Amino acid sequence: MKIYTPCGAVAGEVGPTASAQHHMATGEPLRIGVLDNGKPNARAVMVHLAEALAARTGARLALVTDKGPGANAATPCRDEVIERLRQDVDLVLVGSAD
Amino acid sequence: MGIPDAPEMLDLGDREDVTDVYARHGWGDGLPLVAPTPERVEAMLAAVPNLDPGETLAVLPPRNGAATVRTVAVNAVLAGCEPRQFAVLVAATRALGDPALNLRGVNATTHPVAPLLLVHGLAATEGGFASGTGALGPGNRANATTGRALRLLLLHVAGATPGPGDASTQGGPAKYSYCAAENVAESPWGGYAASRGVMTTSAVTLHCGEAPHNVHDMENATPGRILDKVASAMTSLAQNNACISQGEYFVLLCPEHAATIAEAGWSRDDVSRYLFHRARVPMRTLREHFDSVAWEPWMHALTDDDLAPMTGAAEHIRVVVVGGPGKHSSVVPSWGMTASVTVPVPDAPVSELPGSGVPGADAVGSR
Repeated sequence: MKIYTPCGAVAGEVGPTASAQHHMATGEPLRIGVLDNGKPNARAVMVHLAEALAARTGARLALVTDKGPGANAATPCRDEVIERLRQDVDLVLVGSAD
Repeated sequence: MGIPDAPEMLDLGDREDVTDVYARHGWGDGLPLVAPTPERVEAMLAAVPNLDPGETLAVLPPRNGAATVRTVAVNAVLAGCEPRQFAVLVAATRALGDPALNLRGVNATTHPVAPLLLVHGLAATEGGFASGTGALGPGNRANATTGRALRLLLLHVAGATPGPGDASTQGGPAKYSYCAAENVAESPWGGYAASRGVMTTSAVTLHCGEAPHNVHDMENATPGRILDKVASAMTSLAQNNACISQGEYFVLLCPEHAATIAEAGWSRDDVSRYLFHRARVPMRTLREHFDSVAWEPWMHALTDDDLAPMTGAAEHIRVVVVGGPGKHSSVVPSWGMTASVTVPVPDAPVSELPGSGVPGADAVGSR
């Protein structure tokens, strides 16, 4: 008997950005970003992780930012912050939970 | 939206059970499932003949799955819905996609939030939804399966699986199924959807909140005394609204409480305004208990001796009549960073009731 699967298609594409593909292809150091989601100690934990990752891989920590004015852990990141991350980094650590 | 509708098919062997097969893929809610055969899915789709099965009703985060009409039908079959409930599920899916609902946050949070689906008007009657005794509990197929189908959509299409897609610390029973019809026949203030400007004969509301907090009052015959108990349920420091300040409350009044209040001449808005003024706690108490808050600027400006309201405006306190005989109402605090959404049910005609006149084509976010 044939039955349907329940999940359907994913909207949009998933994969490395063009800049990340460029850095991977050319061997230039990948740029790590930290997006502080506002949870207590999130920034400290993620910066530490980013620095450890950079030390192990040769990448570099390029940007640490919050979500933008008025945003918090429960609300979406501002578009201008997303755009800056898109331009300036290849990998983003995006937050921690409680 | 230009997203391909491509649900894949599986072969189910003669001796295989869909629940077991699905579980091996990480699908399902743990309860037995109905096999979504093409015949059953087509029967579900026939209930909404004016909709294209490939139409995307919403894109659901965090997976960003495309909830097409057909994919929603698959999950309706899995949950055990009848076709006569399908239009309600379609409307609820559209509501999930409203940015005001903040579904990404709802699914990501550690809080036990679940979307409460309230069904209004003819769709409730024709779909067989329960609005009276035990409406929020078991015993009615429409309530149980439509609420469950909404959760299956979140699990499958949104990817809200416990852990990677739903961080809720303890989860909660409302995450299985959370659906009831408004008891409009016993509402002294008319239908809730019309009070929100949705003037179609059928509508649904989604409110992302906690499980209901009981309000017991068998003693009082005045609105103030009854509503003071409601206010006490709204001022628990343990709920998210305490640290958010702009979250909504749904106050689900039982018909007897609603009748007592209305017979004293109170309107639906009077109830909201009274609760806004009575559901308050000293600002000092809030400051003592919360280090991390999402308060708006006006709240930070309050002194320790001020009484702080639990939400930013009276209109954030929504009043709906639900249930049967007895004197138990309930309060459903929201997760906080979300707003309820009320939308028409597909194909519902514009109401010809007196006082209507607002086309019901658009969703109405709560603010």
